[in-house]
Amino acid sequence: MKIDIPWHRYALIVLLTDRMHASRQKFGKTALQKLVYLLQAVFNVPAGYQYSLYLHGPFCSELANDLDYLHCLGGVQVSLDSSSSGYSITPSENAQIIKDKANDFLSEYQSEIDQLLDTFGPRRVKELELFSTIVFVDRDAVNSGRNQDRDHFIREIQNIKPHFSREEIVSTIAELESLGYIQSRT
Amino acid sequence: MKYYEIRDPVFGFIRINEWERDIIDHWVFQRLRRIRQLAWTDMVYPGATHTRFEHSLGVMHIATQMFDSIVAKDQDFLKSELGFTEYGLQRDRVLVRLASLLHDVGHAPFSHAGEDLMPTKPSKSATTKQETYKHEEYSEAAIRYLMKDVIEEHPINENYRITADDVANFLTGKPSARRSLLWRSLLDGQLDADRADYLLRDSLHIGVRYGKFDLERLMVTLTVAFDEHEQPVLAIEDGGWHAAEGLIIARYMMFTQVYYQHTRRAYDYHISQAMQHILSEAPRPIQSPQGKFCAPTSEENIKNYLTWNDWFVYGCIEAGQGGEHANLIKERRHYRCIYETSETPSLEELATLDEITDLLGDTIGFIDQPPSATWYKFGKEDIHILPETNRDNSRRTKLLSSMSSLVKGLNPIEQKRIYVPWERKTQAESIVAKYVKKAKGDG
Repeated sequence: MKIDIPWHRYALIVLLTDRMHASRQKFGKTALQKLVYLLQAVFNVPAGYQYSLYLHGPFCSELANDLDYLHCLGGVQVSLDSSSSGYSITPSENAQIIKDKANDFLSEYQSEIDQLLDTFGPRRVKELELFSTIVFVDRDAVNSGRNQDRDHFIREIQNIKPHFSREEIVSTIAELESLGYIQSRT
Repeated sequence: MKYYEIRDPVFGFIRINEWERDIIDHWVFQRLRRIRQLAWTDMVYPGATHTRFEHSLGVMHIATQMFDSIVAKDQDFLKSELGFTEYGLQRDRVLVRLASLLHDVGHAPFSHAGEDLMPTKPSKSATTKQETYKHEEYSEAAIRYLMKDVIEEHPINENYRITADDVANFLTGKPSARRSLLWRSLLDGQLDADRADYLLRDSLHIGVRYGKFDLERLMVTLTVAFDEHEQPVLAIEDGGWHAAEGLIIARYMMFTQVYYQHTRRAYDYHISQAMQHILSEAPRPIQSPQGKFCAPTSEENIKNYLTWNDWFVYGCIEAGQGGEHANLIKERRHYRCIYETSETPSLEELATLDEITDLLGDTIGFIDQPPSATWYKFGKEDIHILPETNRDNSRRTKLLSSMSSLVKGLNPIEQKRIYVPWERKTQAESIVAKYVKKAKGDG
C-alpha cells in the first residue's frame, strides 16, 4: 500500500513559479489559478484540478490548498505583496527536491508548459481573468452542445464580466480564435 | 401566498411558502431525511444523528438572510456598478433560496463517506487523468431530470419563470447563470451559508462548542466589494473582521476535533467498503459489478442512484450483506490508527511515513489522508475585508490574512494516518516502535 501524494501537481506549481520568476513576471495566487486552468483546458495537461466558475472567473479550491501546503513544504514562498494587497509566489529552498519527485510528468508536458508561458505568461492578471473566463464559457458551450452565434457568446461573457468593455471582450475572443484555442463563431 | 413555519433547533423557526413546501414534500427532497449528516460520527459523539434534511432547510434560511443583508445595504452599488435591476434581484433571491434548499439532494448514503463509490467520468482525451463524479453533479442531475415539474409548474413561479435548469446551472457554476454567479459564493465560498449552518448545527447536535461563531455579526457586516484585481467579491466590512476570524477558528476546531477525528474516519472507510460490497452483490438493477454507483447521466440512472439511502444500507447490513466491514461496524471493532504524522507534515515526515508504510506491508488496513473534497479540507482560509476608508470610493478589499496574525499562522491540514485491523495492532505498533528507536540511533 502506498500513500497517494500528488507530487505531479506540486511539481507543476513549483515549475511555473520558477519559470515566472526567471522571466521576472509578476506571479500571484490569481495568476496561478488562471495559468493552471489554461494549461488544462487549452493544452490538455492532466493536472487533475476541477474548476468551477465564479464571477471572478474559473477557480479551483484544491489548487489553492496545494499552494498553501507547498509553501509549508518549502517548495514555494507565498508572501504578502504590499504594492498590490495580494500575494506573490516565489521559489523556495526545496523547489528542486519537489520537481525531482515528478520529473517524468514535467518532461512529458514540457512543450505544453512552454507554449502556455510563451502565450500567457507575460499577460496581466486582469487579462488572464478574461482569457480563462472566455475559454471556460467556450468549453461549456461545446460540451453541452449549445450552438451560440458570436453575438450571443459575447453577451454571455459580458454578463459574467460586466467590468470589461465590449471592445475588450471582442478583441480577446478574436485573439483566442486566431490561436485556435476556442471555437470560431459567426 | 400562504406561509408555513418549520421548527428548527438552531434558528427557532424557518419560514417557507407553499411553493417551497411542495418542493420539500417531493420524494427527492424527502430522501434527505434518510441521509445522516455525519455518517457514523455517533460512534464517537452519540448525538450526531441529525440528517441532511434539516441542514438543507438551515442553509436556505441563512443564505436568504445573507442575501437580504447585502441587498439592503448595497442595493445602489449592485445596480450602478454590477448592472443588477430591481426585478433581477427579486428573482435572484428566489433562485438563491431554491438552490440552497436543493444543494444536497444528490448526496450518497452516509454523506461524504459514500463519495468514494462515485464512478469515473469518461476521459476527454487519451492523456487526461480520469475524474470522478461528485455529489454536486448528482444534485444537478436530480434537479434537472426529476424536479422539473415541481419547480416550474407552481403558480408562484409565474412571477419568476425559474426553470430546473436555472437552479442546476446556478449550483454547478454554469456560464448561463450569468451575473447571478455573484451569489454562488453564498453557497460555495469562504463565507457561505452551507458551512455556516453545518458548523452551528453539528456543534449543537454533537454537544461541542467548537463550531460556534458570531453569525449575527458576520451577517450585518457582509457586503459586496472588489478584490485586488477589481473583480466583484463577497466581503466583510472592517467591523466584522474579528467575527470572520472566529468563523475560521470554528472551522479549524471542528475539522480537527470532529470531521477528521481518527475513529470517525475509520467508520467512513468501513461503511464505504461495506457499501462497495453490497453494490457488487446486490440484485439488479441495483447491482454494479465495479462496486460503484450509476453515473448521473440519465433519468433512469439518477432514479437508480436515489434508491440508495442510509435506511437501505442498514437493511442490507442487517440482512447479512456488506461483508467483513459491515460486521466490523456492527461489532464496533473498527481499524485502529497506529501512526500519524503532524497536522502539516514536512518532506522528512512524508519520507518517514513512506518507510514505515513499506515496513508494515500487508499489516496495513488503510492509509487515510484528507481527501480532495473541500468539506474535509482545512486549507489556509482567506476572506476579503472592506476597510472603512475604501467603503465610499474604490471599494477595494484587503485580505484577512494580511490583517490577522492568527489567520496568517494557521497551516493547511494534510495529516496522514496508518490504520490496521484491531487484531494486528500490537504487532504493527511494535514494528513502528522499533523503526522509531532505530531512527533515533538508539537501536
